[in-house]
Amino acid sequence: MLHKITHILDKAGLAWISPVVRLCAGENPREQGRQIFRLIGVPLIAILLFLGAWAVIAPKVETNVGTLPGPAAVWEQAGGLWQDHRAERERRAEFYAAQEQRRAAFEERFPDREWTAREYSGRPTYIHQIVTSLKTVFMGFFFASAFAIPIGIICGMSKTVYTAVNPLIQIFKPVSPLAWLPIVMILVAALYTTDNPMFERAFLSSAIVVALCSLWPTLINTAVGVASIDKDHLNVARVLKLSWHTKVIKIIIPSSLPYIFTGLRLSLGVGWMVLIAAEMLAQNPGLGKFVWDMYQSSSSQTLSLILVAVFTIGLLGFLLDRIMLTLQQLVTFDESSV
Amino acid sequence: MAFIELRNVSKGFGPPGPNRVEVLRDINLSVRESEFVAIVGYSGTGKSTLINMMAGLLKPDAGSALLKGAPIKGPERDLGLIFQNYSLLPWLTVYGNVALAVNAAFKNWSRKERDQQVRRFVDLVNLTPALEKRPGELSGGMRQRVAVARTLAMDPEVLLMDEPLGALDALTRGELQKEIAAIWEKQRKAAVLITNSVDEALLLADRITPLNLGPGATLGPEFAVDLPRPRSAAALNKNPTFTRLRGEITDYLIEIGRAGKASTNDKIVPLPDVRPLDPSERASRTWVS
Ligand SMILES: Nc1ncnc2c1ncn2[C@@H]1O[C@H](COP(=O)(O)OP(=O)(O)OP(=O)(O)O)[C@@H](O)[C@H]1O
Ligand SMILES: [Mg+2]
Repeated sequence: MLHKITHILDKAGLAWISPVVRLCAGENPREQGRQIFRLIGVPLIAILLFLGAWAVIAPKVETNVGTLPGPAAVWEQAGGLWQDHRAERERRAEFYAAQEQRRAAFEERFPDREWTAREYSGRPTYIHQIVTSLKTVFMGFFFASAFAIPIGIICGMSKTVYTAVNPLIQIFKPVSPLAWLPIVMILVAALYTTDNPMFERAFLSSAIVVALCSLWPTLINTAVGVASIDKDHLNVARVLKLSWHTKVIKIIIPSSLPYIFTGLRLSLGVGWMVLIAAEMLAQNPGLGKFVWDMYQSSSSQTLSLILVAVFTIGLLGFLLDRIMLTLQQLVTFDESSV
Repeated sequence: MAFIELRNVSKGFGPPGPNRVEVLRDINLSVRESEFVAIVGYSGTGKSTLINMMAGLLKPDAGSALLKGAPIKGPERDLGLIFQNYSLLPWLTVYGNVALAVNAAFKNWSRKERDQQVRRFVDLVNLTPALEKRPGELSGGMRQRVAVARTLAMDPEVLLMDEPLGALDALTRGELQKEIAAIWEKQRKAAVLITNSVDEALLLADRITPLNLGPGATLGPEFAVDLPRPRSAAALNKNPTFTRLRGEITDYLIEIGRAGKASTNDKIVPLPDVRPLDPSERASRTWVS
């Protein structure tokens, strides 16, 4: 049982919790104490040192929007943003409650007439912006995967295709999101012209740029994974005379899944990094736009709000990476076994 | 009439030049319908190469491999091969591994018939309790039995076995030998067994042919095994024919082994520095550029 828990923690990249679990189970307190100090104490001290240095140095840096905020100011702003969100949510709830009352009254007076409900049109709060950013990055990530995994599989299966596609990969891989964005925005404006758009254009442009920049690690890793499939497994496919379709589904994809997930994890990391720049330029109402708007407003809170965004971006990126790491380890079968 | 046949077959690997290795030379082997032939030989002499050509996985450089008189162009449904290293798919269960073969072999059967076929053959090798286990959770002997069931379930006309029991301990090996003998005696199909054990060959085969040492290995003289079936290891040990044949074949192998050593003594072949791959490495090895 204990072994199982610590094993799951290790897999989830939370190895630093396992000594605490072991300590609670009463397992060798001295050794666990040392482990806790090493895995939790040391990083904690490093963080405290960082915060201390920041607090000391920040007030000494003068800018045209005031001094650089210290950790306390940033923390305060984070709380402020949260309060703001709570207040906004309350206003929204009030709006709908009031509307519900009006609707009841209306239907009583005019039972034969249709009531038209109205949407609450409050401004997006910080939390909404985070959600928008996550939606955008996942949309882009989805586009990237839907394109990169099949192409990667084909590249891995055929050396000729890989040789053909490789120069294109090498040329497009290093292109910055800032170079893609104008083209994508123009194309989206020209081609995505429905009267009733499902997605905002800014959202779509950002997502596509995220996809364009983040598909390469998945493509390359998938190709490498497929190309390095155990020859014995391919011989099984030959001897059993599997159809192409069955071979791909039952042998090629499962066997290269660890590689594919490694690629996906790298892709999501790149996508998250690219996203902020894309949102700034495309004015997609996510974290990137938040940073840009704060910069434009240049008030005394500008710097601390931007720093809140910096930490949010960092923490969310870390979290996404951990989720992908866990998924990656879940699909990695034990190869020593066969 | 020969059912499956190798005619004047030679095979080597690599491009012409100093790096080319000639593995087999001038191999003639024919197996009649319902005949069980065993090939015994030292490690690395080309036994897998030989059987892979019969299975259609490799093409002869010269000569031809024939099934019922027609050249073998590639793997065929009638050629069932049991791999030397099991080659099970680690992400599929026992059921899944066998079902993969059954579904490919009997495309026009109903789902129910295929399901029954899978279960029947898993049961035949006594693995029903492990039906939903993955190869990683099985012992070596159990994995080998899955590999046997997978091939038998396709109901091939020719059974090709590449050291199917090579990696097993003596006890498990004896048990599986009994199972294979029983299955073969029921079906009586053309069978080729590669093995490094003379006893195993004598227990199962109608005819034993040693493979000489390479490079350019040829087949040695045939030894006909006229021992009554069903054979049991215990009874055979007291059988004078068995003792004589075992002596003759073992002497032959020792003789070619000694001759091979004498001829290679003067050239020392440096071994490449290979270490086994750490299995945990593959997944974490990533390719970032
Ligand atoms: N694809 C290949 N490319 C180059 N050389 C090969 C290849 N396959 C086999 N060989 C060489 O051919 C020779 C015979 O190999 P083979 O696998 O047939 O031996 P074997 O008799 O089956 O050995 P074992 O009993 O260990 O399984 C070996 O020297 C091997 O290095
Ligand atoms: Mg072999």
